[in-house]
Amino acid sequence: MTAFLLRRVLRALLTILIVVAAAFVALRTTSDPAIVVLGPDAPPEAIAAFHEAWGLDRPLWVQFGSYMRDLVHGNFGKSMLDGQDALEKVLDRVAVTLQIMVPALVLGIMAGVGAGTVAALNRGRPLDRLMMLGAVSGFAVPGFVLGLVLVLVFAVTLQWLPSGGNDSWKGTLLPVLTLATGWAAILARFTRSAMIEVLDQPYIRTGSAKGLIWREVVIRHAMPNAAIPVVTMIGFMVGGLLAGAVVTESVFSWPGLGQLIVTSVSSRDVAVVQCVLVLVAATMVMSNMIVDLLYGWLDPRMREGGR
Amino acid sequence: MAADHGGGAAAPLLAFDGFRVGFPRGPAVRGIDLAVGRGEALGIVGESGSGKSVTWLAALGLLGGSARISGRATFDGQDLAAMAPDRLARLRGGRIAMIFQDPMSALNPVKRVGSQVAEVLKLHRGLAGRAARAETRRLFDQVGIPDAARRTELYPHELSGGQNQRVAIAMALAGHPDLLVADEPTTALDVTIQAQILTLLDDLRRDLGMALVLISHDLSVVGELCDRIAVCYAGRIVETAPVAQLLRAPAHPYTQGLIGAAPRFGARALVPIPGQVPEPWNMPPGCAFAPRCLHARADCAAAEPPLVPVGDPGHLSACLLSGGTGAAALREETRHAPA
Ligand SMILES: Nc1ncnc2c1ncn2[C@@H]1O[C@H](COP(=O)(O)OP(=O)(O)OP(=O)(O)O)[C@@H](O)[C@H]1O
Ligand SMILES: [Mg+2]
Repeated sequence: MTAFLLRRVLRALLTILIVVAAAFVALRTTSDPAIVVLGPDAPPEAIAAFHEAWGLDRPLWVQFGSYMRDLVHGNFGKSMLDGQDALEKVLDRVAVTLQIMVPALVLGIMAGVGAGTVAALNRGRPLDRLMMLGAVSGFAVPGFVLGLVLVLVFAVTLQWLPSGGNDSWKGTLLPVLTLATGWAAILARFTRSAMIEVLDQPYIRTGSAKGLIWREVVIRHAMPNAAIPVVTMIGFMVGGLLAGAVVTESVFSWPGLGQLIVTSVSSRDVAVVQCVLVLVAATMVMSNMIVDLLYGWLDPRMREGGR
Repeated sequence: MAADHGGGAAAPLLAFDGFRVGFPRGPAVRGIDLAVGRGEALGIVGESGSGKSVTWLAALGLLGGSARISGRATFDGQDLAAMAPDRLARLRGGRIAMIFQDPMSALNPVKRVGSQVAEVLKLHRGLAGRAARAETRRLFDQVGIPDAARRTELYPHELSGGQNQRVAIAMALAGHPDLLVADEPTTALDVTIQAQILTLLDDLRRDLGMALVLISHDLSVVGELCDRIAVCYAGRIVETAPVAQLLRAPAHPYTQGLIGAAPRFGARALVPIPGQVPEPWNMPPGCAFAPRCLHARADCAAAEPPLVPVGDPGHLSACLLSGGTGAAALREETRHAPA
């Protein structure tokens, strides 16, 4: 078990290292941060000074070496735009992003898993068809389209809610709804098929044969088994949570991590971009690991070597 | 109404009267008259698709919504179809227990086998905690699972098929059933294990005094364990008799065919029955076996022959040809029929 964990952690670190290296090279070779930050008309002396200040005049591998050295000490560097600590800047924005992501995730899971379960239990009946119609539409409409439609209806036409920003709690409603819809749609279909597969298994009939009423059979013998693939799916969703913020935050001008990614990439704010990438990669890798561990906990057949 | 369909003179434990089960595609069970006496071991035989499983699953409310049931199935005088679903549910696993063909998939793969047995103890006997664990271990001992204390903590995939079937039997016994319905309990197991499980079922039935319905397509399995056999064909009982009587003097051509096709009973070479069981949506008129029957006459297709007594007590057959002396003549004819 410890060997297994250690292997996973090493692989996770390697993944993050590759992401960091690739981004480092890409960001520094495609254009010059000095020109982006100082503007195309900046005098050559200013550019040279900028290069020297940020160490950009050294060879790429030397820069990477010192960057990695700092990274190991938890130092992500400073923003080239305002000199603020990159990690601090990023974490501030993560907090803002989580304000919409966490409620959206909770809502999406409850609605999606609930709808999928109800649909599976009513397989082939009108209720099932209705729910799947909803799920397929929710899945087919891209998030930014749904977001724009919501803005058009609730902000522009009805003027009930702000079209963007995080000035009041009202601003969270539309982005949360948009995100939750997408997740709920995916989870509803996923839960339904997982549940249907389990309900067809012979041990469900055994549950009835031992005297459980149908509701008890579903709760005790169908749901725990159907949860295995669903939990996996939710794990992947959580992993992609930070990365998925870009589009929604742009639509609702939500000043979170997604917006920070967009501005820092376009301004070649290298330290900030790198910090975001490490964070995003780390959440993905971590959640994959947690999914693997959960899998073993939920499904005894997956446990290695027994107890 | 209460015709004697076997099962002794006393009120039967469970009785079917004109029991029918229809699916959207056609009728799978087409009027079953059958009774199981208290403590009796009844064997149900018939080829695959003849409606053996559907009959019992439908009676116990274990078939999905698309099944339509008519006729009567009564347990201890109560009409099962008229019973509220919750009450019927509590009868299952309690006074009527059922075990199924594939023990691996019949147990929940993510729950420990002991806890799956304990679930029944809680449900039907109100046992929990330490008492339930002790009783689970006792049941494991009773069904011959060695090292019970450790095995209760395992998952189905950590046990063999035979041991899983023993767990399923322990689960069935946990509710102190009056009737155990075993639907092909050994079909998925290899031969030596089959014999062990069958012996176990036989011993348990005698020790506990419960009735046993053993469903199988293997006449030799049923012949050894049961007091009486009912032969099922295309959703009807075509013949029923005490075991010895049925094997010695089968009255229905289908039963004769089954015996001729069974490795242990066949006189000389095995004689397979030509053709196959008709599908529910493709029932021939009159006697459903007529198209495959060596002795079929023109009037066999006219009407479904009723299940009527043929001479010896408790021996009934549903064939135009098997009434009275016809039976002996028919057997004679079968013996000399070309293979
Ligand atoms: N849930 C169902 N829906 C529709 N038809 C069904 C269903 N279950 C069984 N049938 C049909 O009913 C008929 C009888 O099936 P049943 O399972 O009772 O046969 P059986 O005698 O138990 O055969 P086997 O030896 O293969 O178990 C078959 O034609 C089968 O196709
Ligand atoms: Mg069957």
